[in-house]
Amino acid sequence: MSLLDLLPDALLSDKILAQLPHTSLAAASATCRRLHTHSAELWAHHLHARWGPLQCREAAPLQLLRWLETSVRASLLERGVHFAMRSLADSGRLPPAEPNCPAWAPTAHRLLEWMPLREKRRIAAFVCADWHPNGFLPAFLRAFPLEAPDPETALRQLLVRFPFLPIDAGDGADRVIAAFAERYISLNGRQPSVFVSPSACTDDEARSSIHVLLYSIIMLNTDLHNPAISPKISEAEYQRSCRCCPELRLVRSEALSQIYAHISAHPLQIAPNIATVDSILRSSPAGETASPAQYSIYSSLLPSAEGHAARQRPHAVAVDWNVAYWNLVEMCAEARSAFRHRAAEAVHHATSRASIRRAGVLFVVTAVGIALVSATARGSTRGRPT
Amino acid sequence: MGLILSKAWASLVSKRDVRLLMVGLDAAGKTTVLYKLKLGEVVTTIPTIGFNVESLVYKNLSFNVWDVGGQDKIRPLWRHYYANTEGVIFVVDSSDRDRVAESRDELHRMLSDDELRDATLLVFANKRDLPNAMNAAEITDKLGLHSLKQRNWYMQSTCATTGDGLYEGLDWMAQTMNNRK
Repeated sequence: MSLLDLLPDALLSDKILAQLPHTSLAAASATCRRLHTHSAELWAHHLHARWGPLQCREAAPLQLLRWLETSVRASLLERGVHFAMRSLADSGRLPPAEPNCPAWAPTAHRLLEWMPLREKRRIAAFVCADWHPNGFLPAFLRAFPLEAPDPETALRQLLVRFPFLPIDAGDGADRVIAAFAERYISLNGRQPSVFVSPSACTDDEARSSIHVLLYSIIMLNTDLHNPAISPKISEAEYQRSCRCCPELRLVRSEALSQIYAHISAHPLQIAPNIATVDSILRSSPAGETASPAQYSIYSSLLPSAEGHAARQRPHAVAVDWNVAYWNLVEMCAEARSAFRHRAAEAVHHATSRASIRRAGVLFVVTAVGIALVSATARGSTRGRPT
Repeated sequence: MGLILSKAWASLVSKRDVRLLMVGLDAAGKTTVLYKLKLGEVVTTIPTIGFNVESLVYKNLSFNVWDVGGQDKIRPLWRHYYANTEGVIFVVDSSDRDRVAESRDELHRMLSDDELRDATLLVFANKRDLPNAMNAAEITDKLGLHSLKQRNWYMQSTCATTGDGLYEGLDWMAQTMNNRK
């Protein structure tokens, strides 16, 4: 914006404004207002750069862009990506769908390029949801360049563009990873730096081993960097765990050591300098639900977890009275059973002969004692002058 | 005196950590179960750029639940985590008659692992609301639970979408864990 302000108005043409990156829509808009130029081509260019190849029939591109940037974008956050994409489809502006790929896929690709992380994570959670047709995810991932020297680097490249982690370690994760492995092998082939003998295995075997390797990398990152998990896995344990999988016997052990060293030193990131998030997102047709990080200070996590969670939530729960209540209930139950045990023991002892004799002696001694005490007391009151 | 008081206080408010694994075939409803339980009683979530590990507090226990899903080939990677696992929640789709045999094989293969020999087993027979759902006795029979001689197990029919039966199952798990310590 400041650079645009420095330029003389004579130099500011629609061509220059069209050169602006698609993130600087506000700058383009302000400059246009200053110059009173509202060229349809300029806005069509920005529309396509930000929202993909939408059909813009009778409506002017600027009007369409206004609708997208206000109403559609707000509904994407508030009512979910599914709702926003459906409203786009209902408006009839989406291009015809390609095989295996819904019509909104090009728009989703564009949005993943420029939207803030909060929206990007929602789109990624929506794309990974399990109600999409089979074969959709490989087609969707085809748009991402995954050429890399090793699978870990490719995963890091993908995460910055398509932040699909954190994810439930179930089938959703498995689907994305399978699609990733397919794309990775088709782009990079069987690399000698990763495989023990690249020529000895088939493409299918290589795909399976990349699949398992990626899964193990994500597990390793979870283990080493999630403070809820202790004890942490060691390099030897990681190697041993990987060797249990037949698919990973094709992978060089140097590659595994390198992965362990990289992941322990540099956690996976979904944006530069963002290696932790404060919520878990889950997608359903009704919208994306975020469960926020919460923390009770009486949880028995590692100290690092306490620090981490304290940063996320400054106002931690002081005392979890629910937990205290159940602890108390359990203590009372224990005390009652202990008391019952003792009482039963005492009754048992009392019935034995020795204890009867002991109790008899005790009774006599006590009775004599009481009689003596009362006699002296009576004597002393009698002797006292009135 | 202060020490005793603080110890008494700590024993009053501290929770016990229990690691559980949640297993089941795909589409059995594991994620829905986890999500529904979590909405009920959330306490600790520490998200990492990785797999979700949910901690949910029930009574005075803190359950650390791993959703162990995916294909057979990644299953050996989970063995590392079996060692400290105290319980297994097995989710089975009670309306899926075709795949109940597959579920049985999966369950018995997992329980045969030496590291899980002491783990208690809670079976959630999910989707009981569907019209052709099998009843608990039928599923117990088809999963071969009676053949588990040394194992402490419990079968609970549930409907994860409404949350019915989930807490009854968890109640049993909490009681078993408390009796164990």
